[in-house]
Amino acid sequence: MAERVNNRYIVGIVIVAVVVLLNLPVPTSNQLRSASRDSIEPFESVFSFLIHRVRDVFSSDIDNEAQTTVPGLQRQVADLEQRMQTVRALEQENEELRSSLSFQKRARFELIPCEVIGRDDISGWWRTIRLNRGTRNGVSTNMAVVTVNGLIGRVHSVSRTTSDVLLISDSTTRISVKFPDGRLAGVLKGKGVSIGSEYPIEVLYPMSRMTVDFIDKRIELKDGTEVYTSGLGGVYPPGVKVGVIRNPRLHDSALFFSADLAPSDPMNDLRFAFVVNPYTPGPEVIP
Amino acid sequence: MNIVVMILLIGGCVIAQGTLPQLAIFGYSPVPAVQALVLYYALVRKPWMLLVVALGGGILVDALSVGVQIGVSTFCFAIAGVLATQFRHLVFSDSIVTAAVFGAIAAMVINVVIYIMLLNEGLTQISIAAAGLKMVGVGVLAGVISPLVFLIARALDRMVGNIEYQEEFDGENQPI
Repeated sequence: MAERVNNRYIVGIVIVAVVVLLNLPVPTSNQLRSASRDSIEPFESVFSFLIHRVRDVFSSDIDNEAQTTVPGLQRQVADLEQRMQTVRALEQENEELRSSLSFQKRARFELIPCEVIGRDDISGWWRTIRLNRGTRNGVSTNMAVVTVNGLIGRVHSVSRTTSDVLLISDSTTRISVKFPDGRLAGVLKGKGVSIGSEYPIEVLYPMSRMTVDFIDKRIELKDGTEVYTSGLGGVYPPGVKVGVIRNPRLHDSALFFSADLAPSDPMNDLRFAFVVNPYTPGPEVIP
Repeated sequence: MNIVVMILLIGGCVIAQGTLPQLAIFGYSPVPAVQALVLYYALVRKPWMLLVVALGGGILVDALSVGVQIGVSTFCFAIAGVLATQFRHLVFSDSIVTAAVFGAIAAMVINVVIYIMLLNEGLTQISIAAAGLKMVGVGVLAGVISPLVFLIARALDRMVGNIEYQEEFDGENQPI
């Protein structure tokens, strides 16, 4: 009898707790999220390291020496790629605006190297990765995240030591993109499919990874045309490669073209990524 | 020792759910380890423990998630756990089949509820087909992981003396 009464008290306490939790103010909720992520980060790192080691054991092309230098080299290559892409974008913009604007060359962006310590959202509803860099390393929300191959997402939320990246394949992603010649391509939409590991399901249920909609009908589209960020919206820097066009077709409405997009980075085994800090210029000379 | 074991199990399940890869064949569903743990406490342990685990595990799952409102998982876990306790005297709580069936049903129902909530709030735009695949996937995963979680949790509880054996008339060991 006494236990039943106790259980009723506990049920009551849990009901009150749920009501309080569901109505937590946003700052308190964010603090709780940050604290949880920071406290679990060491365990995630260890677990992630173990998973990578297990994968490495089964990988035939392991080169220990190369592995130790890969992070440094990847950063340099990413920096060079980023420079090239930004220079290309700047050149294009210069051509377009030279006659009417006094355009100052855009500063280079700092790249913050990060290690991927978690993959996919714990609830399973969003396509994310977790990086081992947070506010103490200068990462803040809505910074673009790239790899040596191109854009992979943006920082969605950040704690002191970690940051969650919403991948461009997530169903909520909308990015303004353009073609290499500077013409606006359209809007990139994610389909909520993790890129790189979708092959087994395509047998049962064909899923496109990402699509580009609202492409001007007058543009002659070809398979393999590269697509870059346009910079509109302010989250993603302009000129970052996103992927290439596949299977262009007239949209059902017949008002514009749509196309699938093959991402420039397959994202099937992400280990390192780089957060683009738009507020700090990058180094002038790569050591 | 109950609290210590609870903390260990919640931590382990949260880390496992957060880091184990989500496969396309299962609709990118996470391994529902925390929910399996809630069911273990619902079917094998005392109700107050179930609610504490639902509260702690739910808060952690929501806090580590990108967009689920904190409290949603706690609510779902608590409801699922309380419903499961209503059947604990009708089933063999030590059975693998019980764990698998309860786990699968609870996982699918919880995911349907969360999907509807996310759709209403515009937080996801996953198609119904993809969501359906996710439901089936999480059901299968729960059917596999729940017996495993039950096994580990029961072993840990027995190891530290949280539950004891009593000889049943059929000779099987049942926790008191």
